Amino acid sequence: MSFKFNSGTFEDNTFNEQIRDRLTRALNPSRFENPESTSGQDGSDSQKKPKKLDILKSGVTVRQVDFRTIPQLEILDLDVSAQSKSLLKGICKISCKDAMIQITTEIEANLLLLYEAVSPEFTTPKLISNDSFTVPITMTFDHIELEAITNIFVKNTGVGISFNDVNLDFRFECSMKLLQTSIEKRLKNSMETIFKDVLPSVIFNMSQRWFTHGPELVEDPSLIATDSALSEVTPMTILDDSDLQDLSPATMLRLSTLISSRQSLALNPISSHTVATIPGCIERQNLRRFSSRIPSLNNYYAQEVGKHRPSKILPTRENSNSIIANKMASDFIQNSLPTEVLESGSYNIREIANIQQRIYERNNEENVIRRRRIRLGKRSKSVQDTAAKMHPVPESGSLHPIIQPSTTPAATVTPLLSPQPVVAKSPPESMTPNTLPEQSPYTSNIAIDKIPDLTLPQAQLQKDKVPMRLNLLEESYFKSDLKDLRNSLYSPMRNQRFYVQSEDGARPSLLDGKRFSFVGLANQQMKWGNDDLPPPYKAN
Amino acid sequence: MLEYMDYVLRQFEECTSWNKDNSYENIVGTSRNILQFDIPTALKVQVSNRATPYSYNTLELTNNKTINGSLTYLYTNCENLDQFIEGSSSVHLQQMTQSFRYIEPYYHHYKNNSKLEVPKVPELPISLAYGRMFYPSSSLEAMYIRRFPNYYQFILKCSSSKSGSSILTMYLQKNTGINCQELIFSTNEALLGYRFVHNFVSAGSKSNLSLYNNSSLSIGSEIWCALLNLSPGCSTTLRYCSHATNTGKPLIFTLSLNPLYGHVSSTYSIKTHENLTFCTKYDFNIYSIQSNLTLGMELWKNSSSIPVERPSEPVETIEDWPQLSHDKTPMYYHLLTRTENSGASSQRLLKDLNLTFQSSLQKINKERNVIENFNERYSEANFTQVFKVSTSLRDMNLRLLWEGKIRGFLISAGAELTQPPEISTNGLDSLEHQNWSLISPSKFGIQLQYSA
Repeated sequence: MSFKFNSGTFEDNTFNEQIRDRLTRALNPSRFENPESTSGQDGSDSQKKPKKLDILKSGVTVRQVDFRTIPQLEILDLDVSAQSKSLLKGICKISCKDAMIQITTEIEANLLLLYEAVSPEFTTPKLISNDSFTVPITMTFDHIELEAITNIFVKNTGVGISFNDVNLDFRFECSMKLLQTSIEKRLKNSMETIFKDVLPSVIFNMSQRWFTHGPELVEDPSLIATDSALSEVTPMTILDDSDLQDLSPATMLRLSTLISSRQSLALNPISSHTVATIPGCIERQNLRRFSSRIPSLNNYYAQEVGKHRPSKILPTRENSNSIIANKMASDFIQNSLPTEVLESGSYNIREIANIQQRIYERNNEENVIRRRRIRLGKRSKSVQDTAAKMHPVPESGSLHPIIQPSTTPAATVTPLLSPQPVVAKSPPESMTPNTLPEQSPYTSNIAIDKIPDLTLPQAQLQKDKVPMRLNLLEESYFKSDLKDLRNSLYSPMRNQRFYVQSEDGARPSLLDGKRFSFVGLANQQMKWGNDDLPPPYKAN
Repeated sequence: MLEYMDYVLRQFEECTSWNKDNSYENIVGTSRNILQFDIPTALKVQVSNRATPYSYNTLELTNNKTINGSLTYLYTNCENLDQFIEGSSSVHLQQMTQSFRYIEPYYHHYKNNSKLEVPKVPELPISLAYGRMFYPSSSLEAMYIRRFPNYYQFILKCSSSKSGSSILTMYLQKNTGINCQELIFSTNEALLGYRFVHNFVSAGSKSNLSLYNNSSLSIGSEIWCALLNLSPGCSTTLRYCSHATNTGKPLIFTLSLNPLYGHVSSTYSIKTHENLTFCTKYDFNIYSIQSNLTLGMELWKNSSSIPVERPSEPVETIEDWPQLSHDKTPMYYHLLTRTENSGASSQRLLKDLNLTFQSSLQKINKERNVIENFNERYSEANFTQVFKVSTSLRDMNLRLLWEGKIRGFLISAGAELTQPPEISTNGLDSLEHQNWSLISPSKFGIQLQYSA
């Protein structure tokens, strides 16, 4: 694979003119599209749709663009096939120094006039001598210094880019000194959005048009309008097709054939949740990573076993990973607590409860999701129940949460969880610390009635010192359930739109439309586990 | 053209002796009516009638790409409102048209009119309720007016629509004649405002040759603040209304100042003939040195029928004077100190004075007659059509409106011609828009109205 970088464009200073033109076009999008949209309004005011308040009286003009020095582009790392889902992955450092941009526009200073114009005439009192007062405003961005590390992913559907470590510094000058501080504050607040959301989506949209040469990707203005209403920031295309004529479609086709040949049909038991381009399939090399992320007690404590009992097993990272990998090969995931952990007593009830809850939620995803009721105040019962929950599955292939028949019927219907296991750990007076199960090692097939109450004495807890921080990596990983994992493995951009993830909103199914699987793109929550894959590319 | 409900509303105010012109909102009403008149933007048909003496309704259909409509109902418990309201075939066109507002001094007394009862300040609170429903956009307008026996009036306006937010606006007004104060609150941006008008009593000055002084001087100002976004607004206006001495032609001069945005605007309106009005307005901004000149005129046309021959009023003699005070109010009566025992001596004194200033008093009477005749000729003329034109230099527009009465229908047709606005200062843009036509109609429409 090869690409050509035409550095000649930046050799002389003519690109300043180009930037100026493009910026002017990009800043005045509506004026180019429909200059006559305002005419022909309805007669009755109350029938008008509420117009948007617009204090701009004229178009935004870019007066001056001056990049005194050529922007530096330094390729730090270039990997053609490391990530299975991307054709090309690279890390670049972009820096430019001492640039200057000056824009001018006119704003309406009389806000009452604007409000009068948008509100219905019937209820708006008439104001005398309330005429428009237009103020020209000039904003100068001086001494712009930009330094950013970017991750670039080239896929067969587009180019993804994420900005890490953006250092942007500029001096801002406004012709209206009164507004300077407030504008500056707003600018600084919006900078993060620009580098995290706007720029990546702009570049992605642009590249997608170029990759597919798509006439079918003609943007529906109404869709964009509704989108922009939702997300405030409208991504707009700054560059156009002519910038992107250098890529050969033949090469792209060849590359996509190559990548499809690497997909295997190894089916995972939970087929609908797989992370794959083809539904129900997962790439072979991703299998282990995928299954190591399925929440289960085994996965969770695998590392801990290695950490806590180095003398016994002496596992290296590779060793422990291969153990899991072998287990994965047997097509199911054990959800049992390792004996070593039990013996050492280094488990945390809160963790176990978390994992169980996630398993439960994951398996009930297709069903109607019932919210778990969490009851407070029933201390002893919840302790029992949590203890029961800790019990491994007899049929380890299915990952259903354990509902013990021996508990009360009420508990069977609504599994109870203690929200504060630490409280639960303090034993009642009747219980003695020596009920600790050292004589009955927990195996995966232990009967429920043999499990003593999982009440650890406070002293023992102190002694054992199972700090929460110990499993920070795993814990933070497990906190995000599989949905998060899935989202993390994909770009948030789908179907040309920047996809804003909401907790409750309807998520488009994974299986429809195109997928853009950019590993690590725009992922803020995900921490990468103990595997030996490349470092996480999180856009922070 | 006033809509029927606005007409009813105006007559309601007339009926309850509420002077609409004595409000800061309408202090520049004349120039607004002549220069910034409303132009219909669609084909609109309106049918109204009076269902009972207390309720009125209107059905309206508008065709602008799609057909919209509205239903309006109005109810009032005002007793004799129906005497003030006429159908479209008999109503005077000048009553249905927003035109020159003849401002009378606050001490003006209503003349005895045989046709109508003299409106009095009501003794019981009178209220008016108004509701309007638009379809298919399903937005609503509602209004409630309560006129209190004293000087107060309360107005509640509310509009609600599916697309926008609901807005409630409240007005509390006190109109004593000498001054008018209003307190306004609107839920839209939490707009809070206060405005007042004060009328000065003008005594005849020494330099004034005309003894009959029918001029009035008012000053008013307003203060606004939108509490939600803290955007302020304020303005001050001076208004002077008078009549030309010899011809009795009314003229109005206003000067407005918005100190916040440095906006100064002056208007001068004069009715040079019963059927001809001119108005000029000059705007200037002291901060940006931008200026604008707006010119407008309206031309009324009589029906072809022979004008009613008016019997010339007999010249009053000195002997009539003492009796005159019964039915005609003498000038400066408000300046006269009222004496309880105005006996024969004062009567004699008055007679002596009248004798002494006989020529002057006759002059007063003559001037007064000239003015009153002028006003009467205007208000009772049977106009059939009116044509309005206004143009503004800065906006480069021409506004045309024709209103007329044909076979009981009130028709209003208008258009606005504008030069397309300069899109941007950018060189790129002006190239694209160069081949546009110089002037194009930005809006036009026809409105038909019938009421029974």
